Amino acid sequence: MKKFKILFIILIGIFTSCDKNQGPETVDLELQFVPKFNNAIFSYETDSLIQSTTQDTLIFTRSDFLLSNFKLTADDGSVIKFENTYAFVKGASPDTIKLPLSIPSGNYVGISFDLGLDSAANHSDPSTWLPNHPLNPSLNNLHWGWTGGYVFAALEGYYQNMGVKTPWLYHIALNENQTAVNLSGAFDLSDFKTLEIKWNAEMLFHNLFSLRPGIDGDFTHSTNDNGLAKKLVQNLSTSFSSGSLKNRTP
Amino acid sequence: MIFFKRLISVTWLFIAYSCGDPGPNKPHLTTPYILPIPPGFPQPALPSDNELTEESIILGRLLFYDPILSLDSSQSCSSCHNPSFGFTDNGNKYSTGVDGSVSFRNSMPLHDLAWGKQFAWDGGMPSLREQALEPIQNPTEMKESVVNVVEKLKRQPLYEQAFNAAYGDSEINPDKIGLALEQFMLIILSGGSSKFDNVNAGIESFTAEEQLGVQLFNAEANPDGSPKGADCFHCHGGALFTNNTIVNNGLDSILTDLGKGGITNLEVDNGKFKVPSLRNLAYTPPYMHDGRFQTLEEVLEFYNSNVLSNSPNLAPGMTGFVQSHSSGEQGLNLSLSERQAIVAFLNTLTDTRIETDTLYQNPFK
Repeated sequence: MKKFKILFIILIGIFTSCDKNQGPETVDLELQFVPKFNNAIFSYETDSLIQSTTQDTLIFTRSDFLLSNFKLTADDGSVIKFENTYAFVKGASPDTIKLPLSIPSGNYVGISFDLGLDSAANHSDPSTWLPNHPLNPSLNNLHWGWTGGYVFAALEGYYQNMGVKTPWLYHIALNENQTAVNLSGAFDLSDFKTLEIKWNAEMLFHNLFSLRPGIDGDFTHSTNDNGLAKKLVQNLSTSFSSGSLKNRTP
Repeated sequence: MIFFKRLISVTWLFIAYSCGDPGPNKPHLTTPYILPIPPGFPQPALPSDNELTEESIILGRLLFYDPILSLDSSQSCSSCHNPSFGFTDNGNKYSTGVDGSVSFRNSMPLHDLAWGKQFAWDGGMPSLREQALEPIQNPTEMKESVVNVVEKLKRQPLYEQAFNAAYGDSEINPDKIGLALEQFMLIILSGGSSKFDNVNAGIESFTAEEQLGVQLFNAEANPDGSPKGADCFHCHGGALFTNNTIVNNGLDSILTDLGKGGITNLEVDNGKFKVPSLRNLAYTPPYMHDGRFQTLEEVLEFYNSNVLSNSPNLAPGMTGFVQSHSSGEQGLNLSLSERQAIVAFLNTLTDTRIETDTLYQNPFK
């Protein structure tokens, strides 16, 4: 009889462990960055894009970002911070970013991150980062050299200026230009998922400010630019949006 | 004489690596080589499938300096990549192949390739192991087939021993040749002992002229302002003095060499060439992909006032070089003394170790 009891307990254990309705207690979250222009996928270098508001013809050749300070806000208002989590997003060939396996399974209402780095990370010794670390200069090509910190956003391309293909270049750097990006939504993270984060490239030029390269300036390195970098940062801060949230196999 | 030299090399290899042939059932033991990363350099992403070993580096070095790799055994890799010239071609604008053919691009220096991502001026080679085999087969260079190279190497006892030491068997094939040459090229460094590095380490100080050069190098273009800027650092910043990108710096409005565009067949890539490191510039004239500038002064004059705004696919980073200034002309508007200061600074990047470090030198001498 005792043997039957033990067998019964074991069987209960097996059936319980196979319960498909029971999700994981903690999950990770994969972020998939997707650059779009007027809600459509575009090709870097080759696609000529029409800015609908200003009618400028634009080509993007580069949109690289350094992101940090990722946070998730749960539906009860609690906030999970991901310390020392950095991401390098190369617009033309973005990798996914994985927030670590420490997220309590549940419902979330917001995700946020900083475009740029805090002062400590920005002025860290670039030679200390491992080869595949987002802050390794050889990986991200976003370090200013020994004179300063990192470029937070490197945005480059061409525009048609009186019929001539003319370069534009906006490099956002300096601690004062670190800015928060807040995305709200209903994020069911009861399982392992991938969240699409769209970067709406057209909003670089038309958002809080309407900017035309030929008029407002076609390059900045964030200094001596009559405030162009500040306007670009404000445009960038609301140029991201959340997209689909899909299940994935961990 | 050649036989004598080879005999010395063979003897040396046998002594150094007498345990190279493990024999049956014995594990193949190699000696890991830790790349001495110069201070301030980023951590390199070395190829995970070709971990550096002393044995493979020695094999690569033998191959690099051995003229047996060419059609008539008259040229080695080092013929056009001489360490006494910063691993470039002896000051020549173009290189001459075994049959007298002349190349159409300047020989590139080979230092700090451990941080490289795409190789050759047009970026057409994704790895050093592939790049290593290209000049051997190029009809205007060494003009030999890798099949013939393998056969010739098989007839050399030196290489039987060296391949054994590196790979645990004496089989010789093109892949192993490429991997060994890759290893040798990966360990060639320029950094850590130049005046620039010594200043960073607090051992030396810049002269006033060099210090002005540093400031101009690291300042953005500012043709009508004060201080002015040469805007060098956007492409040549950081410890490597290159961002390893492939761009058009505005040399020509009509292209005779398509550069990357010749590889990809994309119009948007026409005129794009690799941004070279500025380390060891004093060793490596002439300059640019086609060696058009003999001196650094000519290079500075080009960047100061001759960058062409109508050059196809001009790099966005060159915008500052083509802005108009108060004189009605375009460019950086640097004075002669400011340009000379930049040259003085660039000369502090000279690292004599490139021609003195025995690890890089010809093992047959």
